[in-house]
Amino acid sequence: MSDLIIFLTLLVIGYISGSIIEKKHFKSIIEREAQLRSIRVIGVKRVPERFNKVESQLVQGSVVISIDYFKKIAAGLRSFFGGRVSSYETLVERARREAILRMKQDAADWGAQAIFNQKIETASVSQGAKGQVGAVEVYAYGTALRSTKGGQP
Amino acid sequence: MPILTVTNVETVPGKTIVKHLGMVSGNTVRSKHVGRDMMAGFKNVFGGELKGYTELLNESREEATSRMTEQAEAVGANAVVNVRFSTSSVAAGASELFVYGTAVVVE
Amino acid sequence: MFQDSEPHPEIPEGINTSKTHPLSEFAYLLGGAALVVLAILFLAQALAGVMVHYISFETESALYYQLAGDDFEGDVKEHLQKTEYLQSLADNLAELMDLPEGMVIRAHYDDSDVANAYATLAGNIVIYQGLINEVSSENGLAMVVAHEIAHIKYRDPLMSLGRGTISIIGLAILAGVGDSSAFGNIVNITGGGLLAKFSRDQESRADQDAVEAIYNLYGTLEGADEFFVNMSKEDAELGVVFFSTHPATDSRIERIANAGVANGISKFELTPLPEILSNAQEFESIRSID
Repeated sequence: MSDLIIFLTLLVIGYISGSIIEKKHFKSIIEREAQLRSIRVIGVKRVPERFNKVESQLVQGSVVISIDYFKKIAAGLRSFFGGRVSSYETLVERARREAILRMKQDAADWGAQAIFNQKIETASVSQGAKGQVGAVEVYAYGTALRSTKGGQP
Repeated sequence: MPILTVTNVETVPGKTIVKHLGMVSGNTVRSKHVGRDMMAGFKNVFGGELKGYTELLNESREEATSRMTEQAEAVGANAVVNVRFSTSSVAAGASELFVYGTAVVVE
Repeated sequence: MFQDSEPHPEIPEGINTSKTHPLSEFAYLLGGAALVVLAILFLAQALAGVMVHYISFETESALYYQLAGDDFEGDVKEHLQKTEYLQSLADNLAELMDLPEGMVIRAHYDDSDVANAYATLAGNIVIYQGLINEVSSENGLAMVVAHEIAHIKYRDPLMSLGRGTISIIGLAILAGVGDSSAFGNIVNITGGGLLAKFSRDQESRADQDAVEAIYNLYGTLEGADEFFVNMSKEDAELGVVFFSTHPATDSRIERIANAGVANGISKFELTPLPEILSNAQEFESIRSID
């Protein structure tokens, strides 16, 4: 009986806390995306010839976001019936957008105007021996370009 | 911050490659378990960012990257291009972070 | 660098996430899982019923004695008199309880302090010294004995065994399928609850038969609830009956009281417990005098 109470309490705490954190995070993401919109992210491997009065540097952004108890249980239930694990979709979306924003911020701090050839890598961090997902890690990196002083690219 | 120029495109934009000096790399091995983060168990109920873990990964990457640039300097390069990151699982829940690129001299 | 052009256009929200509300999806999945669990348990109950129908009491006894042998812990020489007493009490009650042909009750005594009694396969029932300590008259003791005999009558031990085994196998398969302990948790909680309900039904039915038997033997229900009253004082009931295997103690006391009212009984004298049961130490001292 006490097991059930603990389980339900964790579930409710997980849901409430998780939703609040998630909403706040998405709000912050949307704000910062608007601010950093001027930094272009262009995924091509070759930097066009005309960008020749520039300096370049590798920029990167990464984040590790944890699941909450509610997401874990919901995913567990879903794994029995199959189908879209919608509770994890928002998690991965947040992590990806956050990582890209941090990469853009890294570029902005350096004074860049664009990032070329961005790559995104996602990994799951496992929780204990069972190999369940405990957290999602997203790593974004690319080559940032800024105009050299006084130069016109 | 690396002293050399490091890019993940095939060239250093705005400069010309005059010499290729071969592949250079750096790696670290880290444990994959969430247990590393002291807040992890707590966070796994509430949700939110595992800042301790993010920092750990950033440090690992910085270390791997600086090992790569150390190799590049040692062979006489002033830039590393076409950098790629790779993660692979090594036994017993540890994973290796591997950075590699081509060391070049640019002008 | 990009003075002449517009920044990249904004991407609308919500394309990469689902529109369903997480709570409603969760409720839906939870309901589905609970239904599957309940289906397995009802199936287990039905199959156990079929099994009990086809395995006669004689077969059950034969198999039991072959596999488990004849020993019961309490059956030692020192307690022979107590065992004989319990057996004769059981025989008297069994005569009045309409047992099917060929059903034989074997009573056993156990000197452990546990306040309990149980019925198991092949018609064996065990009464603990701890339970005897909680009653002050033969009437109270007889209620418990009659209750256990009723379980034998309805083949409850075999039913429980069959239902339990089939459920465990079915639920284990289910819990192992979804690859998380979360699903296992839910399976255990729903499953546990329903199994407990089946058990409570069995216990209520046994109580019902026992009350009748007591009235037929003693002509009164006085003292029948002694054990329950004493246990109720010791229990701290959380008021959550969902998971208990037995009905709430208070309701069992109530049932006995109501049966008394319905039958319009008068106050008879209680039959006292025989001396040999009243105090194990006393018994020892009596023996040594011989």
